[in-house]
Amino acid sequence: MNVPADDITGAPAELSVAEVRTAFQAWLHAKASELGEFRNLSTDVDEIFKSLSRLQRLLYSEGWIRLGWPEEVGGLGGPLVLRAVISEELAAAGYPPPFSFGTQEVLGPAVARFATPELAAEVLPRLLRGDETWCQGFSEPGAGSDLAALRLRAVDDGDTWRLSGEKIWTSWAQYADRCVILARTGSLESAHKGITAMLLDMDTPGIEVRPLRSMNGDDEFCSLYFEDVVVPKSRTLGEAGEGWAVAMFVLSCERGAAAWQRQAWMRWRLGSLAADASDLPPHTAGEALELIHILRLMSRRTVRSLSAGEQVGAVSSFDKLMMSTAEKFLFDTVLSAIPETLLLTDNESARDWRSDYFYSRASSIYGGAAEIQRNIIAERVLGMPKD
Amino acid sequence: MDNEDKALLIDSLDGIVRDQRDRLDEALTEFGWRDLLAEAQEEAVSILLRLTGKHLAPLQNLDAVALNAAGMVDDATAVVYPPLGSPAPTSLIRRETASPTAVVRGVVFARSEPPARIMVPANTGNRVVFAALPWDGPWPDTGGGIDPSAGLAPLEASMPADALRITEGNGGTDQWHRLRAAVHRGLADHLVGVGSRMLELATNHVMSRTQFGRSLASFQAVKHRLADVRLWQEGARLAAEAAWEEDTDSARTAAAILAKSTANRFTRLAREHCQQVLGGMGFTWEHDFHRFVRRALLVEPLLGATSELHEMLGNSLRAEDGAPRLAAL
Repeated sequence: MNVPADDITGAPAELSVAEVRTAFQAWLHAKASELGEFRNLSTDVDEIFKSLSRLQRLLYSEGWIRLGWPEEVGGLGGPLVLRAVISEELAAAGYPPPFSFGTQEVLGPAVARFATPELAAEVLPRLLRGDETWCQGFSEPGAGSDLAALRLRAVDDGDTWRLSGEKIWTSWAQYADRCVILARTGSLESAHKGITAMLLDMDTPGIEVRPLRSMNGDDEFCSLYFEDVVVPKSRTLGEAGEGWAVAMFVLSCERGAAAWQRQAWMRWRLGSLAADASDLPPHTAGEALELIHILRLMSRRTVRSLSAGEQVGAVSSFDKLMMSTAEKFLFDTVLSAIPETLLLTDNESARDWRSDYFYSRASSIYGGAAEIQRNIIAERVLGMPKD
Repeated sequence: MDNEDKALLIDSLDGIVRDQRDRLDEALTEFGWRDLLAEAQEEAVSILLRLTGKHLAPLQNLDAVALNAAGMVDDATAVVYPPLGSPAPTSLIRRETASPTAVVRGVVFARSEPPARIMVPANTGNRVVFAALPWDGPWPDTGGGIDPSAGLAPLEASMPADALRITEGNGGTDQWHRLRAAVHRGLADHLVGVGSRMLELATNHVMSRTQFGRSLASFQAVKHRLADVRLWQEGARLAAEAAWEEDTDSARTAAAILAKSTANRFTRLAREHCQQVLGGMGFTWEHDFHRFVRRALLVEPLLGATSELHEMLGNSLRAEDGAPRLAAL
């Protein structure tokens, strides 16, 4: 089946997953030279951001990344799995996922589900188009794995919330236009029952962003300081005091849908390694392939559940734990297969391997540490008691 | 087959495998499992093999699974599998002399009557062929080694190969690959059955015992070991299921290897972690745990131990068109 690429904006809901895949592959192939700049990105973060926004706008204007999003928020309709098809084919062809792509899959669905329809219709198209990037304000000093201990205070001022406190580990906050933030609206003792989620404009007065250089050299993570930051109540996501449900939904998208993008990327990285390392031991490469395959099967199931509107629940902990297992194994393999490149070379490809290696170390920490995932599996899947 | 039919089938077969293990073959034939194998291969194989793992029943029916996949249905034929650890044939057929000979080396399933012929994947020159040879020697009538209940025994024989029927060239290799994929899939399900029982035994044990005045299951060190086993159980189940969905030979081969290697990993972790949390109890003869360990140890290297399977997967990355893309959305 061959669907001409310009037909895509017609009636995507009618297209099967296989048809969309074939059509997108054909489009990528036809545009390969035009898209070449996106396969070899600059090492300058500002340039990368600009370049990835251009890629995103191009994909948006051609309709590809509008697939699987409802029309009310700027999409073309069709099932959510179409989004997973597009992100996989991009990765398989060697294109980096646009930065906000991850954000789209992690934060977009939560805003689509929990924001008022007016707010969702106003902000989501900008996210999809690549006009904006968003960030996620969840963790705080003292509230990482134990997220329900968060303290950033939102005071009820009638029509507005007034925020004071701190956030940390917020990725790329310095580039972000908006932030999905969790704030304490109940007492501290209310734990996960006293939390409210909201969508905050990052240019609101009273926010200070301080980048925190991470071990791979990127200024990805930021500390955020809030002093009397005013947020209209129309920006509340879900009901006041029920932000925990929003947080859990965001985490299930992160553990599931984003894991799908990650496995497609890892599969492509393993292919690059096989090309770079002629003496890569086959049994090690095979084990990496196995781990990535299992991650793929797990995240495929989650993507399908999300697409069918089903609750994901504790199984997303399998995805997250497998993701960090696979990612660490893959980059341990890189380290032993091409030590000269990773450790002593200074070209762009070597810097990429180095950065990816370092980043893989974080994979068992962010988005709920591996220990938390194991606790969830033991307690909620195997039925073992909390201690 | 819808889910309700499937549940009924699992229920009926569970009873047969549990209660009629000593005459399993007959009981399965009476039940109509052979017909099911011809009509609904996936359900027939995955359900039965998972149950034979769960109940540690004999594995003899693997011959029917293998021959069915190679397009042969014949109870008088036995398959000679490569020796433990090897995913590739080690038997040889010498045809350069006036009187061709076969050197047969591998593992087989015990039978009460010797088979009329054997099917042997074998090397000849630098090719793999699939050869049918008449058999008139003695045949093991019981399984041996660490787990006699599996029914597996080694076989070594040299014999004239003039009455040889051979599938040559790509046909022979393809037939052997189809057979091997079917066996990998079946063994993956079998190991999922074995490992799941180990996890169940260990979970029940830690939930019912106390130490230092608290439930053994409440210790994080215990939880995390069993959570890892549970993670790989999930992976092994998904991989075993996904091994049935591909529609080209090369994708089916790769998906079946992945199913077997993942199942191997699941039972290896289950052997390690479940044993540890079962403590002294798991080391007794009286506790069932050792029976599952024996079966897992025997089946893990059958048709390729983990490292050989990984090697095959790794080599596929370097194949001309790369490793096949599996498990489409």
